[in-house]
Amino acid sequence: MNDDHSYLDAEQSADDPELWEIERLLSDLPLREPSGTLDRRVRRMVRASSLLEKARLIGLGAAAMLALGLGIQPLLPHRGTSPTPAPDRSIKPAPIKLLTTGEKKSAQPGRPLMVRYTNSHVADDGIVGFVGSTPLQRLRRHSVQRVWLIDPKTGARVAVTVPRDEVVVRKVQTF
Amino acid sequence: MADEQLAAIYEQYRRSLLALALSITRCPARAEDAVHEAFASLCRNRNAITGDRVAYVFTTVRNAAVSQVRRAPREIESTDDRQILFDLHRADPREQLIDRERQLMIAGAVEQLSSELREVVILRIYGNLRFAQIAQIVDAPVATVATRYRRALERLKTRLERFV
Repeated sequence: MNDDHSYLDAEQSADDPELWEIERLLSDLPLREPSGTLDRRVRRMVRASSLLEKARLIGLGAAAMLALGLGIQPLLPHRGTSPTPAPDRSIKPAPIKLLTTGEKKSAQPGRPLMVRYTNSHVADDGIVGFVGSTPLQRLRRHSVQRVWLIDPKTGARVAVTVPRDEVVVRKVQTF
Repeated sequence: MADEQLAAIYEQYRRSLLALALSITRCPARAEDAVHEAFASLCRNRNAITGDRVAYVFTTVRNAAVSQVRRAPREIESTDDRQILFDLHRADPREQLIDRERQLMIAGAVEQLSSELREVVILRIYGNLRFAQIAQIVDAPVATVATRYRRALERLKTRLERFV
């Protein structure tokens, strides 16, 4: 094959003026136009593809946000995130009994006043075993009760702290 | 590749893309089908497009046209002598300046080139592509493409001697 490509570097078409003239003659000829149908089909396809791509990106973004939300959930503290928080609802901190003037008067003289304050929370250990096909969930309730005994006469007080740990294992309803 | 880029390539090269497909299929309907198929494929696989995007689009159209020929070669051979690449009836002000007979002669000379010479001429003159891009499209060395182009011009020169 005659690989005469001396004009390649400059990307010139040809080094012969007569060949340039041929190129000029050719470039004057109008090429056939694509039909309106083809134009419409291709333009619609590219546009639809663009819309689909945008929808896909939005979907991916939403999925990523959802995955991120689900992914960081285990890292958050268990409090309030348990799927079965029934025991948590039932446990409320014991209200602090405030002494009123009337109570002070009605209190028998010489008997110490008792004030209790309980703080508790429930931790969910998740599924810890199975009975047959029924999963078992373990809940642990930690509570700290503080009791103050106050002598109304002298104002002397004694504080007692009582920690408690309760473990409850319960069956989980499955679907 | 973004769809805007794909759309821009179609708008810029739509005539030369169709001409390339016509040069291979020799049938307007099949050439249009090839361009349509090619863009459907490009839309589906737009993320796989690498390298020179224009060359990639031309390559896809060329491959689709070759597939069309393989599907129905006989039907295409029967239309091989038609002048289909050019629109000589188009109302163009420049047309007034060019002799009608000369247009027909030039168009006929281009149509009579072999398929491999004709596609290089179309890509070079009407697509304004570089030899490196054409080499990628026709899957041949750059030097071979340059040689084909020169040979095509020399054959056209011989046939169109009276106009040069």
